[in-house]
Amino acid sequence: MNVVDSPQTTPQPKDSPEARAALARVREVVGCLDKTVKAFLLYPPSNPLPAQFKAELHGMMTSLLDEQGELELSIRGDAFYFAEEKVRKDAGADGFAASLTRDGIVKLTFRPGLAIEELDRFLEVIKKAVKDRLGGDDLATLLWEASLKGIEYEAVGGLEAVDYEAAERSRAARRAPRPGTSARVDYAAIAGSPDGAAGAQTSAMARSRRMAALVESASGALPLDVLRGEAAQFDPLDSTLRILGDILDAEEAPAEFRRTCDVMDDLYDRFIAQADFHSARRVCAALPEDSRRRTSDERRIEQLCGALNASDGCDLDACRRLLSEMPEQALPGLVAALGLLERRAARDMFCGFLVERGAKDVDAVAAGLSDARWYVARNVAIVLGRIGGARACEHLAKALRHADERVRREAVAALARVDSEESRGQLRKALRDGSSELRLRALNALSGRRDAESGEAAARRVREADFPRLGAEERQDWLRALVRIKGDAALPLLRPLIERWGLWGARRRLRLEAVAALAEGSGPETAAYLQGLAAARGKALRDAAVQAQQKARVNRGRS
Amino acid sequence: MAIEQDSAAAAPIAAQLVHDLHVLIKAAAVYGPNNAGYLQHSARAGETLREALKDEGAVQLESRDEQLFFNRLRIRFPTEGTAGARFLMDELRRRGVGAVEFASACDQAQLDAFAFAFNAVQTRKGEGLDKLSALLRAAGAAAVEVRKIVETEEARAAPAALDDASAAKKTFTRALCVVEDIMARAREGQPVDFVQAKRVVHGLVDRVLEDEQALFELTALRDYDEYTYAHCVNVCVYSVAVGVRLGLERAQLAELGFGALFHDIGKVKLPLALINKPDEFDDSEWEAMRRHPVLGARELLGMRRPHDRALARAVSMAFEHHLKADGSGYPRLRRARRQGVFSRICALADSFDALTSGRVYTRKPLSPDEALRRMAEDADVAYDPALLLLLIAAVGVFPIGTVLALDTGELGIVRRNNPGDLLRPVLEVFADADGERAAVEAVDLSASDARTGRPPRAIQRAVDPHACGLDVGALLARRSP
Repeated sequence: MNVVDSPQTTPQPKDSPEARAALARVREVVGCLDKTVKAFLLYPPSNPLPAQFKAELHGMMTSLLDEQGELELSIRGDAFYFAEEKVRKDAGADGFAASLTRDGIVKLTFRPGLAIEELDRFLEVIKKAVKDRLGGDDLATLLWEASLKGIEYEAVGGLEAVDYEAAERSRAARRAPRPGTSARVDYAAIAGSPDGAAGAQTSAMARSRRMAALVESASGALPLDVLRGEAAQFDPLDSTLRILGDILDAEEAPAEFRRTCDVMDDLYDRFIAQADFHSARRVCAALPEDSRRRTSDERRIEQLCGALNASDGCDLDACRRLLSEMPEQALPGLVAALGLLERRAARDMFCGFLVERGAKDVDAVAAGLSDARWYVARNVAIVLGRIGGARACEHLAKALRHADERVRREAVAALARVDSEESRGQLRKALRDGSSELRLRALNALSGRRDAESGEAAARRVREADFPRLGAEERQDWLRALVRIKGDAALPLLRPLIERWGLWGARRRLRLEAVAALAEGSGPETAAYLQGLAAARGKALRDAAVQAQQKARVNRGRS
Repeated sequence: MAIEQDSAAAAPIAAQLVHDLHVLIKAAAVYGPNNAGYLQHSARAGETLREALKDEGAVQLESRDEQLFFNRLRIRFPTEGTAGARFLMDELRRRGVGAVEFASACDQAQLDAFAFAFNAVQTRKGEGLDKLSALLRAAGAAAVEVRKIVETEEARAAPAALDDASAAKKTFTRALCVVEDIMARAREGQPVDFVQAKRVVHGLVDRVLEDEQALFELTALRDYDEYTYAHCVNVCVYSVAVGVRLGLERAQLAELGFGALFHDIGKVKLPLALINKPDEFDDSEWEAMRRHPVLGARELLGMRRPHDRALARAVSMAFEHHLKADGSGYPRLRRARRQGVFSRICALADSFDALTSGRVYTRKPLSPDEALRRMAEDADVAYDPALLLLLIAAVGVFPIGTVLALDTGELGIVRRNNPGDLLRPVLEVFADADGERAAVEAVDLSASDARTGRPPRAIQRAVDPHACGLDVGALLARRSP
């Protein structure tokens, strides 16, 4: 701890004009200090504001220190004091003064000659202490390490409570004579007769001389740079993991082996709790198989999800790499975790990982379809769709029977992404689903693939008597699907709808919808028919035909 | 209330207790003892206190320097907890109370008695600590004690007035106290106060940079009863001194010192009877002893500060300090492992202190110069020769505490070394051939006689003080005027 021993600024009567002026200047400087610290905490280094404030602060501080000598500020609670006068109180709950108090800093002294580089280091230390609390070092430690000449601090710990004098007295009183020492010493014997032979004496002295000569001669030639370089190359986690690995390798007693594993497990848990997935991955990779298996315990997956939920902006890539280190047994737990993740980005990352890992074990992923939480089953359906393949389709077929429509809807979307006869078959079944939205999704997916069976289904639907009573959107979808799949062969079905006279109401809307649906056809007969309609007498019909022609051209361009 | 986890300060239960007590006191000011609202707060505070007492045995809450301390550890409050702490500190100050102590026997009734007695003190009428004590006694709350405020401003300013030797002694003694506390806590499986340990190391590093000789003198006071603690501090001092000569940065010196302070922490997991055994170890005892590096590494890792760089250094030093370059040493490993630089420094410091203390590795202590000579002989196998030279450069060829016989027939004890002339230290001559002198005389062996131009005294040989029945500690305690 640095202890301030210089006298404070010359004391003056508190109510003298000089004292008031001095106090006002100190208030100004401390205000600027507070503002600069806030700017350092809030803005990134690229922002010019912190540097601007810092220069301003340095100017004010230098001028004050040059005139008044050092500036000693006490910190109590959430306020700064100068000569027992409060000069600044934190505006918010966690202001600068409160941060200092939390770390036991009770006094800051700025000395004349304070360089701007030192001020910069001071501000960086504050920033590190406030922002990066993971390292565990408090402000006093960081300030000590920064070794600032122009800024001194005083911190309280528990050390002040140690009555060192009493401890020293007690220590001296307890100091027992070493066994073998006697009250009476024969000095003549020691001085006169050596406790070794003359030769041994000479030899011992010669060795001492050689040692001294060696130290003196070698001091310039020692490989200090190499040693310093070696000391600087220290990766704390790498060192720790290598040590634990060595302990495990050499450990023969199962109980001791287990204890070391527990230490590693705990290390892993700590990193997870701090959302440091990068370090957690490194620990996970170093875990013995049994411990690694335990990373997929329900409790630990919950912890992982908790960390992902709690920390906005954590490194999701690192988390994904951590998941990759987990054993295969982790898969069911990770699937269930889809129901615990609150942030969409984290869920997306998990889904991405499950697509990758789940390809090897589709059944394990698909087990999530049985999860009681509909949103888990829905995400699993998405994952299965992205995995694709026959096995995934089989499971998605089951998902089409899920009680919750949202799950079935995702199953249809997932099947739509899989291009296989099997998925088409499942989508055809979905055309009979109770939900119109779901039926339409299936229909759109099938029509996109020109599925002939679906074309027939569409034709049947269009012919049905209740077709005009369907919702407009559904009608349009059926009509479009019909044209898209059957092409020119759809014309005989649509012409009666278009050519049947109807000026208003449902029939008129159906007529125009049928014309619009022809835009999906690319056959010559459809094109010629549309050309004819474009010259029709009725304006609405003509406009609809022209629009359909334009859209058909766009569709052709796309294809 | 969410409690910020910070093993560097007092346990999280401390912040919780402060919060619950402040709520309890406020509730007692408003409600009667049978009010449901009060009882709810009382039950919560009681539960927290019981938990704290279970962990700690007794609980002392101290208000000092605008901070609250829980069993001497500063409590670091989460942002939302500062208001409660502020309230408690203000109210304690108004009553002239510096600390409240709850003994293990404190039950719910006594806690309630404290809350109501606290509020019954009428500070406006000038009542304070005495009244509170009387009220507590009257209510039968024998397990709750209140203490007056201790002013520490004066005490804190005192070090500035100390000379180097006194400052070194204070730093050294503080370090001993903290190490003792750490070892005791670690032995009981309680959290260790890292902030305090780091501050102790900072103090030692500052002292080594300022005047290492004063600290070396203290390391030479071989304290038989406090060997375990003194050894840790001594190894820390020697390691930092070597680190300074190596040219390490200040933060690295702190890491080195921190690791050295904790290098033997694995021994807290060994039976005390083994640690303090005065006789030679048998094979099974040696085997147990040889586990302490592994136990130490595990103990430190169990302290749950995965991002603490200094702690990671300490782990490696605790694990590696008995490994040797030729694969001998312990723990026995399947893969060859090279000690890190810090561990090699720690190994040197550890051996030097152990050899001169004569506690574990040899029951007969060697004189410091003899210990260095032995180490030099083993340098190629057991130690890094370059680092050994740095240790010798730091402590001298005749380290402080070495008893030397001079060609004049006098006996002196090395008090300081001359960095430019390692063979001619500064002695305190305490005896001549006729016997012990009444007053010791300081003699700089490198100083030349004005007439002859040569030093008037020369070293004849080093004397083994233990073989001659000399008490080095007592000799060092004597000072020339």
